[in-house]
Amino acid sequence: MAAQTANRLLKPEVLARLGSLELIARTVVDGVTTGLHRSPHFGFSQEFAEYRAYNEGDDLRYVDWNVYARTDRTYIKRFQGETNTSVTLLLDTSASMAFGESTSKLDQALYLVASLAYMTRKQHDALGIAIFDEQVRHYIAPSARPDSLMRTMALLENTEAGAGTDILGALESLRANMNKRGLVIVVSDFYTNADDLLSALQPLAHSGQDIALFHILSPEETQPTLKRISAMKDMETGESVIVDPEFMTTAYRAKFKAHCESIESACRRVGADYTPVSTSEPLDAALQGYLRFREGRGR
Amino acid sequence: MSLLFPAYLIGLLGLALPWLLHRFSDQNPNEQLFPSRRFLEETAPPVSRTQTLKYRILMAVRMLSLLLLCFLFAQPWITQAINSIDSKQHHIVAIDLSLSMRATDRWENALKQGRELIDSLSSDNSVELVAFDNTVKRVADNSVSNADLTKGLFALQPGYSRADYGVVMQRLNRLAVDRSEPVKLWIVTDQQESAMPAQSNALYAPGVSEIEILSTVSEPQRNIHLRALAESLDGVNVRVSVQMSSSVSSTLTESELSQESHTIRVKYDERTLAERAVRLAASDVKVIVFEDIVLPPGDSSVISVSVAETDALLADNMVSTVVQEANPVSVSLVDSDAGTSINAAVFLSTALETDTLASVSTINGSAERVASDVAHIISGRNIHGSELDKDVLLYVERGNNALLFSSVPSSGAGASLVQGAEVGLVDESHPLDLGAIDWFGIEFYDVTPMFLKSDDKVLVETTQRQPILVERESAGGRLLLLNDRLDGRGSNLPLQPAFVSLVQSILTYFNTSTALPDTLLAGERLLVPGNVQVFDPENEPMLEINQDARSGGLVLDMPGLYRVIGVRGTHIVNVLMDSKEADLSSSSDASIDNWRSRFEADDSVADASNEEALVMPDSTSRAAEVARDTVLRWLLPMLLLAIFVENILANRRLNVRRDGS
Repeated sequence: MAAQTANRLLKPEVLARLGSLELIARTVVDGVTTGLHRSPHFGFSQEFAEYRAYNEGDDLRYVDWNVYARTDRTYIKRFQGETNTSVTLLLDTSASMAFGESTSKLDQALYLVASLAYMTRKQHDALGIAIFDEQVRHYIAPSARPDSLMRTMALLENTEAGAGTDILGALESLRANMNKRGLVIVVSDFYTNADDLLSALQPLAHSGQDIALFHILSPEETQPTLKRISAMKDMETGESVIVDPEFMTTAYRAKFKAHCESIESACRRVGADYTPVSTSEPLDAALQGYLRFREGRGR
Repeated sequence: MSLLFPAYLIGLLGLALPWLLHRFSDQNPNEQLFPSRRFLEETAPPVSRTQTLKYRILMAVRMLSLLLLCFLFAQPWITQAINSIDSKQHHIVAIDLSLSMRATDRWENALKQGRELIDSLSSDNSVELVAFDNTVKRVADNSVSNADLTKGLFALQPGYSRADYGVVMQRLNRLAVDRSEPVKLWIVTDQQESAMPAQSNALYAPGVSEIEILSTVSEPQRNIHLRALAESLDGVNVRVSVQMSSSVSSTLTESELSQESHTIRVKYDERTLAERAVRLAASDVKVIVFEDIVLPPGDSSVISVSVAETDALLADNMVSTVVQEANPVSVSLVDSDAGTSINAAVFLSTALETDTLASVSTINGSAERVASDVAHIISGRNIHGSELDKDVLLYVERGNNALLFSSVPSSGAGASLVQGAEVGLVDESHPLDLGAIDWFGIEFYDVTPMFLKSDDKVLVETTQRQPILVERESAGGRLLLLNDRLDGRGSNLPLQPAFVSLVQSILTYFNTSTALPDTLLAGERLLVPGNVQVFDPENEPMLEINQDARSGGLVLDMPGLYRVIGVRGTHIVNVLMDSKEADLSSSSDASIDNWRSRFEADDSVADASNEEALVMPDSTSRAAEVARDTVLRWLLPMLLLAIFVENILANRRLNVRRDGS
């Protein structure tokens, strides 16, 4: 029942009603982590912190059998973790991210980034964030300080869509600051050439960074429908193109699908994780995929 | 085709609206925001041509709707000349009986023309004789014999009322629409300018197919009209103001328009009190004031003013007026109840003496001590019981008037109230003219309940239905009860400006015994109360004391002084001649042509027949039939149909948009 409630809360339109990004992130993360087959909390530290009731999917290795023997109840031992990796979140706030009717791509991206930040800090990893459009607008270097989450949330709360996109330039300028190995998560709609993206990701991959890409997609953009001939105005450049409804239901969809596949292909070539995130779908699937990715990397 | 209200055609400018809408809307494709144009390909707009075709039809229907709407407002009517050599015509001969027809030979000319007209009209045609001033009266017709028409014509006499061609045409139209055959109207009149309506549309009579206007003015005419007002402060020294206005018919020459000398005489009972020579140019107005005329001793207070020289219209060369005495009315404040507030006398005196309307005297004791020449008293009494003090009742029964206000001490219940009851219902139909008083802001904090008799009339009450001003029925004078202590505590009534208006209204109501008007214009109705006698200027009884005036009252069509005698004494109603009617200026030819043109047939054949008809009416071979109603009968359904089609097309267009096709 608890899992069902959490799932219901994860829907973007429900999340939008929650007051703050921090609350949204807690709701998302707690809803996702409860019910996983394996707990994401690895507990590398040996410093005991507290007991927690066993949930289905928790690693049996952390069950305190002594307590079970005394009380006939299963409890998980929780340990005070130590920072062992740094996570840098890269959020694209270009004008195209403002697209979307009920939930914009930027809203969904903010929920996702906030959830990732919360999850990162919950695991006591160092948290860093960069917000960019044509250039890097804000950057907070990865830090394990307790206030890093708060600073990140404050930054996200005041984030609005900006101008055009230059994801290559953003990654280029950030690469100099990423001298420590860690995890780089890019959240964007990736309106860029796949080859360019590949050339931008390759240096990061070569420097030992684990890379995860969240491709934010809107149903109106993946499967658009037009009632009549319309002028489609580019949200970033302001240029208009007169488009036939038939084109939007056939050729456009094929082109866009090919683009997504090319992005995914580029990710595979650099060993990056690629997760499409729809603005009409709950975030739990995306986050669970992310956790599996981290588990697979042993982080 | 003619238009009754052509000004509405300015609405045709609105035809540009649909064109503008269709020109500037929906020409550009709908614009939508999209994340990126990276995967979009330009498409040539292929559908605008077919949509434009549909929209053009829609635009045409919309323009048609507007066009029909404009014409519906403009009310077109078509006069169609039809061949009716064998058809009969109904002729209405209308004779002007207004005051101006008394000028010189106008009436003789009218009789002569009327006689010739009746004689010349074919016996095959039906002829109806009517007379008019500001109303239309049927006189005779030739349904039995033509002699009836002649007899009826010579029985007519011009009156003193004013003519109004607009009203006359509307009434004649009613007579005409009842006829199955075409109606030709012959108007024998002096074509007076003042009789023309303010709006020429009033001359429109669709039931009439032809009109002929025959002028009775044969020579240049000039008239002096007098109005007089006599006022006196003491009843002896009189100030008489005389307004002289000169009017001329348009046929006067330049030299005849120069100033002429006139002698104005002020007379009392055939004695000349004053005389003055006045030079007055044509079409000029002058006011002459005779100061300090001493009124000789006598019962009458009627002064007559006359002009010595004769002019075109003799009937208005002398006018009578009653000397208006400007004496303040005597009112007694009777202080007989110890409970009466001291402030009340101050408030009442102040209100009564405003504008020197009344002279106030205060007496202690009962109403029996009031002087016999004082007809009005105001007194503080206990008015809340079933019976009033007997001295007041006796005083009122003698034909005097009394206003009683409350003397009962305040209960103190409302002393602490911040907001009291406001004035609710007011009887605006009462002669007190209470509706004209501004009651806003008046509040009653402490109203003592009153015992009301069945025939009491509540004239003013609060929003909580507490009676404030009540008129109690009395066989003699008037008795008003004011349910307020007038101390400024139980209510703020005496502190408000409305109190002065109220007291003065009450005094005027007391003073005018019958609430009858002082002056009327000839032909107007006098609404007379019951139990009065009315005598005309020749002292002949018009209404006996045991007769009631029929609904609508008495029509006073003869100028002069009418006496209305009732239990409250004699009231004189001065019936004056309308100065506009006494203005003999003739209408311009353009006005008359405009009037005639409304009834002209559309084709030239009909015009020619009109010329012929002027000379020989019975030879009229063509008749005009007005098809206005037919036009209007088609316009409205066409408009509704156009709107219906427009709706269908517009909805279809919306559906097309929804489909995206």
